[in-house]
Amino acid sequence: MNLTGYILRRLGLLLVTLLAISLLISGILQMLPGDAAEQILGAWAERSGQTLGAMRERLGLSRPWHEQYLGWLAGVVRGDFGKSLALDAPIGPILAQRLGYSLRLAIPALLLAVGLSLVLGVIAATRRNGVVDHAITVFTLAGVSIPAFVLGSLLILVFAGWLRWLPSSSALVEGHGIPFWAKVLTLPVATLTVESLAYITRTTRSSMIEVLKTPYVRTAVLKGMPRRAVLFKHALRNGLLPTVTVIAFNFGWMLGGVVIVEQVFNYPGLGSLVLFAIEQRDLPLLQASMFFVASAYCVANLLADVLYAVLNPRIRY
Amino acid sequence: MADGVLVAGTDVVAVPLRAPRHWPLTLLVGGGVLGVFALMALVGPWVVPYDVEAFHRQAALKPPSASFWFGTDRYGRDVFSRVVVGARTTMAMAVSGTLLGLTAGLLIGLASGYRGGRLDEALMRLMDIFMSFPSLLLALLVVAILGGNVVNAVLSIGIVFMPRVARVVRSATLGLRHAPFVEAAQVRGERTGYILFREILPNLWPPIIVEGCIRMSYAVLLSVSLSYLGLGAQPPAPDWGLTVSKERAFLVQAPWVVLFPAGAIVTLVVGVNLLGDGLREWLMARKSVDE
Repeated sequence: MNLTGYILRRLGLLLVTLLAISLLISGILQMLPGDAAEQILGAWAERSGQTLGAMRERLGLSRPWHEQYLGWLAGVVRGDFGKSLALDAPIGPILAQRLGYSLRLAIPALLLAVGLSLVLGVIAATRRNGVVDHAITVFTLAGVSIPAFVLGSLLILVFAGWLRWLPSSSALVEGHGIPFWAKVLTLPVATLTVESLAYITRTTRSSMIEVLKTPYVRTAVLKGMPRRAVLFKHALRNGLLPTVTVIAFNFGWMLGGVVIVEQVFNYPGLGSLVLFAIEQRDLPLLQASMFFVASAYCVANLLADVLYAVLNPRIRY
Repeated sequence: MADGVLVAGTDVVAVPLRAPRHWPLTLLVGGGVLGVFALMALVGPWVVPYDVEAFHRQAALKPPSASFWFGTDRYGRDVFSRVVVGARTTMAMAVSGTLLGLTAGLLIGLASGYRGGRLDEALMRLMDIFMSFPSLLLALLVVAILGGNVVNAVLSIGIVFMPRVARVVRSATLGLRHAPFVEAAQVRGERTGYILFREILPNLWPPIIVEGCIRMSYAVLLSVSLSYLGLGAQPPAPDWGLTVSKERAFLVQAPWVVLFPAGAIVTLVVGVNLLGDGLREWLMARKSVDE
């Protein structure tokens, strides 16, 4: 199958997955004890039946479940995610704004993590069992073992508390332009980078070790190619394949990391929006933001798979 | 990694669980760390020097000393006692969440891999949908609906793990479906339950144990993260994740209040990771021999 056909098939599959995800979210929300209106109103619900009725009407709960779901879906297709109860505003623009903030956090972290981990992985693989390799192994073990909120708190203690170089919370920063974003983003991006770095480095190291054993790499070395050219032109190209898969697998882990990191640094991204929706029991916002984040994850996975197929012409599903 | 023990062809036998000649160092260190934390969780409340909720107001926010080994928090509660007893909620959540996920995943994986066909297809697509959620988000969704507490956190960890375990078990079961001893049992007319649990399951223990250990380290990270977000253990439990979040205002003034529970979390996860590496080395050793 050619690449275009593969991509088209994956896009079709993506649509089906998104439908299934929206159904799952909607289904889980139906499992609420009582109903959404009672959840939102809490103790008030028992006292005033009228408010409860009004809230049910407002949420469209009087309709059967499949109608509610289809109505919601029809809205989403038109770009209308409904209205947030806690913020009393349309959800679509909020999601777009928060997505922008989250990407400003996630993209630099991802680029840094991938770049650094390739360098570290290659260094560790070429000096296998040396001091540097062991140091990198210890570093990655620490990286996979430290939760994002612990690392974030440590960085806050050192850089905001003791050294006073950077703010402990994004809400404390004033100003605009590059200095503003540098102050806001440095610690959160550093936290997120270390969290993702460790896994990718581990994979790059082991796949590079495998590749360096292959005959074609030995041939390249023996024909007198410069070491750097062997490593980065010949070995890394094949060594990268498992790494791409791990990066894709780690999108999910990283998205979780984004939620935590945003919470630690009071950063107003999608993750803190989800937590806000949970805290406020704002169900329309929860449904929309959950769906949005899960879709972003699926799209990211799809991109990684396509990249994998482009990098590795032998693989077509 | 699950494919490691499943040697294709006729020599599929139960991998003997006998003691290795050289115990991997990682296994010993990891097992030791986990043992210490398990002990803390089991007997903690009866051996700590202070009641975890006892206020010593005249000694609030004191640094570590001979009477308060890890210092005290803003109410003058003993941080050492709280860290020791705090092992309970995290260990309970991580262990039960892992067991729940393993059990559910095991049953689904066995059914899917052994029966095959439409059932397999349906179950695996369902698992795919669960896996198309980032794990923390799925856990958050479950806890958000059911309410944040330890039991629901366990449930959410189980649900997050179920599809991943199911995949591993399914692929291992697929490899054994036509093994001679399974076909022999079918010819003898054994019941499906007997074949699944007495013939196939014993061969699955090594990959399940290794998978369980990998899951366990994620489970610790997930449960402390849920508690940190206020959706796991609830106050006044001396839970580590909860403490790191509740006491963050005192991070600079009294770092010990946060640093000791944070250190406990990292030590536990490092221990579980080392144990996982060691177990893999021991149980999956056949793989490297075969290669």
